[in-house]
Amino acid sequence: MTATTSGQLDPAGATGSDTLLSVRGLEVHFPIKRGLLIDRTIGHVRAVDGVDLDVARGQTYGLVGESGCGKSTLGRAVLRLEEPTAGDVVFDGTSLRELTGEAMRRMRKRMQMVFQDPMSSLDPRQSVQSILTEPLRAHLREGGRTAWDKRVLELLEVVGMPSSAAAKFPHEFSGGQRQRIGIARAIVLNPELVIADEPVSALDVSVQAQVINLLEELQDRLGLTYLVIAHDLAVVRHISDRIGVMYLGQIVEEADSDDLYAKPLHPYTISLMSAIPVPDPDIEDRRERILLAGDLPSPANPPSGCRFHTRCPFRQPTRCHDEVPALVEAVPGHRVSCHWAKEIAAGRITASEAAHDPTAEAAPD
Amino acid sequence: MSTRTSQDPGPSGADSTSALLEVDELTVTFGPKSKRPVHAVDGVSFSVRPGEVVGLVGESGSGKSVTSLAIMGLLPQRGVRVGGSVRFEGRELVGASQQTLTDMRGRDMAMVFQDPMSSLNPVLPIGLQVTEVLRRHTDLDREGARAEAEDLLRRVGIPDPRRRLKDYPHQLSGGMRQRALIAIALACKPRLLIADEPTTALDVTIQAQVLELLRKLVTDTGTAMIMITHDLGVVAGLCDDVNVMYSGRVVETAGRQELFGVPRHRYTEGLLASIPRMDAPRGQPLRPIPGTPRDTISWSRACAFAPRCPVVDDDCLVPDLELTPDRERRFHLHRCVHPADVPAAVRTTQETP
Amino acid sequence: MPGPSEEYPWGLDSTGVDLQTQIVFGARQSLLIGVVSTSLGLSVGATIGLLAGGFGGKVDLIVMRFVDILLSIPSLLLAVSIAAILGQSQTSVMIAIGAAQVPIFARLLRGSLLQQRASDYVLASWSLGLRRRTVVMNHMLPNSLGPVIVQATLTLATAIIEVAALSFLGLGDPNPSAAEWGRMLVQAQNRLQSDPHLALLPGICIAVTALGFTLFGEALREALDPKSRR
Repeated sequence: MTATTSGQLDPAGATGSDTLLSVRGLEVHFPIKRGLLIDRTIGHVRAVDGVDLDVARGQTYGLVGESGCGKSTLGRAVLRLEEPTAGDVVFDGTSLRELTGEAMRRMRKRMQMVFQDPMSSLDPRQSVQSILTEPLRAHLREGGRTAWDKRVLELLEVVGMPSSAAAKFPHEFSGGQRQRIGIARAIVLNPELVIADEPVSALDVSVQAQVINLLEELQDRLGLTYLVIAHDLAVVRHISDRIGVMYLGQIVEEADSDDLYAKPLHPYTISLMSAIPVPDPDIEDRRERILLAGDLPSPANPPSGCRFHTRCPFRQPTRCHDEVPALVEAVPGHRVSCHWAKEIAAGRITASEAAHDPTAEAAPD
Repeated sequence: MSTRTSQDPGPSGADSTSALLEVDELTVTFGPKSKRPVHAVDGVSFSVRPGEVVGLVGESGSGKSVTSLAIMGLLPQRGVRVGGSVRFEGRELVGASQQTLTDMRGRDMAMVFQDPMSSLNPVLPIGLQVTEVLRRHTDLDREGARAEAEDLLRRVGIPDPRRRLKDYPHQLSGGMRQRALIAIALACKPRLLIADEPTTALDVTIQAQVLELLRKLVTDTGTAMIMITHDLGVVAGLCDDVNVMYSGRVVETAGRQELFGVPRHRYTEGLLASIPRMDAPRGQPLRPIPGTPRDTISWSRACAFAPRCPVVDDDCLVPDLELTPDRERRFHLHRCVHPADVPAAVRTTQETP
Repeated sequence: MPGPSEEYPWGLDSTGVDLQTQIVFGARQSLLIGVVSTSLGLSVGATIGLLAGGFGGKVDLIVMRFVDILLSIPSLLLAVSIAAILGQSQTSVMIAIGAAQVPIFARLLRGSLLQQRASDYVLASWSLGLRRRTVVMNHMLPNSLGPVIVQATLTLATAIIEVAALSFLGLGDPNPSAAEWGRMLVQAQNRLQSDPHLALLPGICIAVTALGFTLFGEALREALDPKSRR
């Protein structure tokens, strides 16, 4: 959303006075167990490995990255659908880590999630009416049937579904319509924060735009704050004010959408952007594609030093393989974790020859 | 009926050599004798020249994947009726014997599928799956086939190919598996490669690698390719000619430049306008196509896109709308009563009506 | 054995009793056994499976080890042991067979629940702040019952035959003239050459009953599936 609509925030955003969500040092490590009779833990999959981010009220923060980067796990950890193994999530001043059972349950009505797969995110046995009423029943004692029925009709209208949908079941709808139902469910309790985990990637191209527009409209209308998680950089750029790029469990670059697109600083972001196909033959012909070598390393065994160095087209002989780069502000409001970001930006370091060869191999770890 | 013959230059104006593959009014009907037969493919015509890359673009329900299966002869025998004609180097494939088809598959034409994990046999090592194809269609002996397999894996960019021959599919990453699939497909140097959404299941950076690889291989070996995808960006970078499919028929055929520069069919226009673009300014709402691909009517009654078209009127309710050449460019065909007139570049800066 | 006559429409069985009467009374016994033992197995097994699959953690671990031990004993052997302990009677046989079914149902329901637990709509329920009991009972359980219903119908049929096996071993109802299809099958074994109908008739009855229950189970499963309502 443009900065002129919901929330007059300073573009540097992050630590403004109206921070709704604040994540510090978040880690989610999954134990790898092996054993015959008793399972022993032989290692950890470090899905999220130390993430700091802030989302200001009314803003949209986009989290982008490819599979294995940990973005979905991060989204779930923020809502404590996955338990963080370290670090904290502070929502509107309250630390979520310290909340127990019932208190956490009640906190949930302020933060909701929209899921990726419209087919599996709705209980096939529940009518739409029931899907939308159940959260009301779980959190509000008073209200009663009539008030709730009215709310259901209201919600259906807001998400662009006919009122006849209430009596139907999920399998009677198309993917896009199911996603609308999922969105209606996410806003039924009037949350402040909505985390959208790949909200459009399972939808047909011609329907994606409809859902994206709906999300933006709802944000305007209801003053929502969004954390959008996606692998499609074009979608994320369109909808977000601020973007964080994730690789192997960490944020490697963070900036306002326009800044990130105009001047990406991290080699991974640069490669990611050059990899996205653009529906314009002239641009496609002219552009210089920077290819990454090899495959994603295992999150159970991340490379030493800079995690990206094994595939980095700008890798240098010093510092990259043994020194971990810190996420620092290179330019106000623009954080990046790369030892050589300034040199790359100035053009003093360029992509290696291998970056244009589709058969190149990755560096050994 | 397509107005092009196999002797005409293609939409991109390529040399007039005879077509490698000619698809003419192909139809595929599921459950032809049941109460409600499904016309998955409802009259598709296009051609592929040697060395050309042709794109088949569409969403779910367009029939693009079924078209490719029909070309390869991979549809089930029972419960499916295939009509029309598919000619490969002049030989008719529709109705050809299973023996003819299995001889041709792998040797003359090959296919790369979307999901590399389910397309590879999980219990056989990769090397075996490659040599299997080689042994079937060439007279290489075991040692010769193994050496060729190793070379193939190297050419598709799989590091340490000798060791990888013994690996099982689950030991390779998604990108590697797709490369292995490509190696298997190109093992016997087929003249036509059909790639059905080969990179949809892959991450963007891996997708870039695989597409680059395909582009390189196709140029190096002169193989023709049919690229089936829903991603217009992929098409813009790779294909010479593009066919846009909707509800079982081709609705627009054009060269790459024309399709993106001056899209005529309202569906193509709508698709291009609704995709968020990295190079467009932020802040403007997207212009989606209303409705869903399921909101369609039969071509035998009217234009199937009519329920979703912004400029539909009674003239569009014409049964069996024909694919007609564009006024100005003879080889740009479209199936539309009210084709778009304004070039795309101008259109994106206009306000939504 | 004398064949059909006016007085005895299907003839006599090997003990000299009217075959038709035996079949009819046998129906009552066999159905009773089938239904009771399956219900027993289902209710206990499903409860265990629900605890293990719905609540997980330590409960799951302990409970499933116990179930695994039960499963490792061949069901017939298990049934025999229990019947031997409980004494010779119809009831002990039913309990024994029911007990042998418990681990099967437990494991089945637990597996089904675990599968459901991984789906997005369950995750969505947690994120909506629904209580655990609501999520397990209202969402996970109804979607997990499919395989359990199918298993129940299969079990019904095999239970009838297993009772016969136990009778054969001398563990069932001590009254030798108690009518029961399985027992009739067993008793007809030595006369298969001369009077095959003595085995065929109860055999067909068992088969038809099994088929009936299976079809009923299918219909039930379909009726409970919201997708087939339109």
